Amino acid sequence: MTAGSIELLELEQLVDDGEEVIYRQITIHMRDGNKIRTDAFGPSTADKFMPSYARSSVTSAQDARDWHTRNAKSASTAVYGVSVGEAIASGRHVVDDSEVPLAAGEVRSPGHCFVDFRGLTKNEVRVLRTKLYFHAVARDEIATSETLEDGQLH
Amino acid sequence: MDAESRPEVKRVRLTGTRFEGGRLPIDSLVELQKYQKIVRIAAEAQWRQDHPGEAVPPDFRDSVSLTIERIEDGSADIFMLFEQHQAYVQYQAEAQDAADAVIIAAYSDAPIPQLPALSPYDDREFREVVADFGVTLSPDQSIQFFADGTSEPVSITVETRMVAIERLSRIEDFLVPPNLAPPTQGLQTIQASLVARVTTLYADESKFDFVLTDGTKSHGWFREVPALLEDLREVVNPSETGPLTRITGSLQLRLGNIHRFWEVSSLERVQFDDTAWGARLVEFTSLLPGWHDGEGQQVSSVALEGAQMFLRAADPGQGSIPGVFPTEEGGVLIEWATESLVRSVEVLEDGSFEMFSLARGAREGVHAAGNLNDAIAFITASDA
Repeated sequence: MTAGSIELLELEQLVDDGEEVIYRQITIHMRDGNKIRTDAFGPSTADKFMPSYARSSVTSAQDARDWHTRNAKSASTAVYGVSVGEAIASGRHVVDDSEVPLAAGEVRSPGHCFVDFRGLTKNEVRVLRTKLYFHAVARDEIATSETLEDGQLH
Repeated sequence: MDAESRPEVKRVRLTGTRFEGGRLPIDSLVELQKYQKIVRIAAEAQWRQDHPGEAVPPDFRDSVSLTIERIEDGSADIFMLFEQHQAYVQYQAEAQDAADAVIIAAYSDAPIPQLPALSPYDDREFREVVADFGVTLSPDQSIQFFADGTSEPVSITVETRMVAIERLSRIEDFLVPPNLAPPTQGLQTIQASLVARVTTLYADESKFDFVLTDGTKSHGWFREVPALLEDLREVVNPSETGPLTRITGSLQLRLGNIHRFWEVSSLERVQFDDTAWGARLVEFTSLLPGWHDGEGQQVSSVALEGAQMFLRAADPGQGSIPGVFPTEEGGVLIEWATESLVRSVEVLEDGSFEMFSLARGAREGVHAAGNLNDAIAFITASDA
């Protein structure tokens, strides 16, 4: 598992600003009380080795959380983040796929990107997501508020 | 038991001079036919919802047929029974309950219940037929309608019927296109297990009520395995502290939510430890297939059992408390995670174990696989 093994599909682009933080949404099934599971930072089956993050250069943590809660099947309960440099140091690159055409009925969050787990074995997935976990919890939760209902005021 | 209090007997009393002496004028039979039609609409709607895309069986209508058991003196006090067709008895019973609830509500102050099985088309027809019940009455006559043999009847007269018609009509009815087809979507049958508390048992109907650990209430039938009656008797308990039971069979989901067990094939009493992680494992028993954003298998019995045995042995109460999580594959992930070290034991859906640890800054992790003892040894060793 090396950051050097890069294979991008058409219209995918590498995110090359190592300082940029990418946001990960934490849903109810990713936590046991205040404990966050390490695989929250890796792919679920539906992700197909491309777990979704959102670029801080395009969207705010709050907007990313709100978008997720309003469009995904599970509401976001918190936002954590890793930097692009930390993902690369963990062994994999970050891919911006915002220009890739969507299939019918699909939606994609603003600033959508993913940490590229493609081609990794089960053990390699475990290691990478755990390394991302270390970075994310060291940064601590990124402050956001619960998404408001439509029409609800602050 | 008196005939009036037998649950299977339907009582309708017609009062007025023309009914005295137990006489039942032929033209009054239409009222009984109307009641039968009300129940049939509800039963057929339920059938269509349970069998999307299928035609209602030819003998189904006959299964929801009333017959007059007897007429008592004093007035036309009529006791009716459904003709017995065991194949559809559950539809008959549920439809009668639903129909009776709407009639009683229409003639009392109770809110008129919504019947979810009814399409907009069925719902409108159903309300029209209920409103039509009592149309042959003259001002000195009434129908005393009994929801069951023991409760007070509601009285259907020319006057009360006017109020009921108003209560049964809804502005939405004018907005429903007349050619709306009955719904055939939204119901899904899967083979599944749930852990729940059995709260009520109806032995005569081969039916029981249960409540999941998250508070969801539902019911199920065991018509094809009558031997389960004895098992159910051992676990039925209306209190919140009744025993947990794993119920396995054909589970019906409506719009992704638990509807009922269409047929139960087996029951098994289960018990989780009275600990924080025991409570957590209990939570997992309520997860349905697709719990994780449309993906996610139900957590398997062997994984729950394996996780419980491992957690007992690992004795997390003595040290740091692990996070306990369901996995998409139907297993349980037990994880001790800090900013500097992650150790985990994953109980796979087949009951086997995979172990992993990684220290912050380390290039590679430690991976292992094995049985319960191997998992305990892995964690114990990394504790040392």
